[in-house]
Amino acid sequence: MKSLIRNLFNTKFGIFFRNLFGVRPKYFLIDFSAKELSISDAFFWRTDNNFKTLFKFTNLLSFFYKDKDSHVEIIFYDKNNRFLKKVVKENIILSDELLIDKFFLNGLEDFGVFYIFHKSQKLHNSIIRNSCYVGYSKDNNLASFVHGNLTSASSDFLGTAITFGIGSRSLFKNQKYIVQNYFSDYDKTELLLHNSSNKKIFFLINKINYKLNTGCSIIIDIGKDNTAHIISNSYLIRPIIINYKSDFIDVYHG
Amino acid sequence: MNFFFSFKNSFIKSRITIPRFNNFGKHNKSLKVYEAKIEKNLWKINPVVCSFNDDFYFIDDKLTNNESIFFLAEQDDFDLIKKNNYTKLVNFNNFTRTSPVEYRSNLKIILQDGGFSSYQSDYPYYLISKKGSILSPISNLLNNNNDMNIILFKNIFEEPYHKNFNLFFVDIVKKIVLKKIEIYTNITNAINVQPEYISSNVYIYTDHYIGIPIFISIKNKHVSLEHTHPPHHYILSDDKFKKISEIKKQVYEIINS
Repeated sequence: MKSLIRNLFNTKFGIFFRNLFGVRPKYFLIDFSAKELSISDAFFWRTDNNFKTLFKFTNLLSFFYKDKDSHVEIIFYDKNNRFLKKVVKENIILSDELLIDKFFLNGLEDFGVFYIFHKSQKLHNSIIRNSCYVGYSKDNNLASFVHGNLTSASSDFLGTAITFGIGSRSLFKNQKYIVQNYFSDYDKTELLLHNSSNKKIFFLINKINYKLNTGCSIIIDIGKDNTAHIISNSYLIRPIIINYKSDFIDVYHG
Repeated sequence: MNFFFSFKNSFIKSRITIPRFNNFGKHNKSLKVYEAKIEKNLWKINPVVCSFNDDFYFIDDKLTNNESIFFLAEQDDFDLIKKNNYTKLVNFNNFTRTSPVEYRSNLKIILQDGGFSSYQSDYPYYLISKKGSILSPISNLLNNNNDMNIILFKNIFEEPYHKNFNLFFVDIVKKIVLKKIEIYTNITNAINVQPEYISSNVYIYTDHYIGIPIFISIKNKHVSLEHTHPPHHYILSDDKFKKISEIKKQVYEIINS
């Protein structure tokens, strides 16, 4: 009987209800029985307000599986989840980097997210996750780096289709997430948030209401608030944080 | 539980902000901040006198250094370490053991006459009894155009000793060791990185002990601080340990050839 309940608990239907009602929720909707799967974090890019974004990444299939014929596809979306462009990078033995500035995006000064997927014609029977490093440079100064922190989408090594909505959500807006830092030293603080679930999410940040459609992104200026309290119907709404003081910025994940 | 740590040198100081609540908002105000440091090959535990408010403890740069580790506990939590005569760190309590989001402090470094950078840091208890090796790229977080590049390698080991082990700069394509540096357990080791080592071919590798590699970039008074993940973070399928073991074996053969 126990094993029957356990099996039901782990069916797609069971996980849907667990997440909906918050009974031992599954935070990431990843099928671990899948193979040849490339999972990407949602990485913020921004070119607004004199920002540039530098992405530094490893070719995971080449590094771990010695697959020298593999390549990566980096796919850009704007803040409203509209496709912008796709970059294919081939012949990367170990690591490479990509500068994302307004010229790269045809003059666009805005923000959004990008994903990186590893591609190969070879079979490796594996699932890999890219959560590499993104640096944010303001006014051409040294970039402040943060690693990827929000598992968000997947794509098969062989194909081009992308599955979004890895982040799970609850029926109720009762999930608390409090950033474990205190911002009293700073001129202002921004929170960069992305909806990695497959439905609209609703949230409060420091008692102000927001909503965000699937795949969309938002930058919220919390000014001189000392803390960030988030209440949402998303299980993992973890912001990237930017603290500003004088000419300096600091970027890190919550 | 998690430990927290800091760094200091002649031009960088650090501060730690330790929350009194977990990410989901649960507080435990009976927990105080304690410092553990090694004295005469025993763990010496002292309460930390620092400023605080309802939600945070603030460990300022006068209290931070490269040897002390910090943690949250209450007086009753010290029975276990008393029983072992302060010869081994113990799991003082489970308040800071959280999942899926880890309980973290903010480790902030401040450059003299310059900027600042931080990351949400922790050193989980389950790592302090482990020996092994760490393999990490360096070019993902350092740049040979910077004014200065520094790697911090933080190890916390349960036994109260500063044991030496090695950190190697290895070119994994040419299969050669570029440099070997002696580092120590229970220290925030700092290594200045020469620009010529900063290449996608070059990885750092430690023998005998694990730790957290943290990277500091400095340019024009601006600074960036971030850590790399261990290799197993990138493979989610069942072959992760086999693949990583194969790669580490290859690097081990390079350093022993």
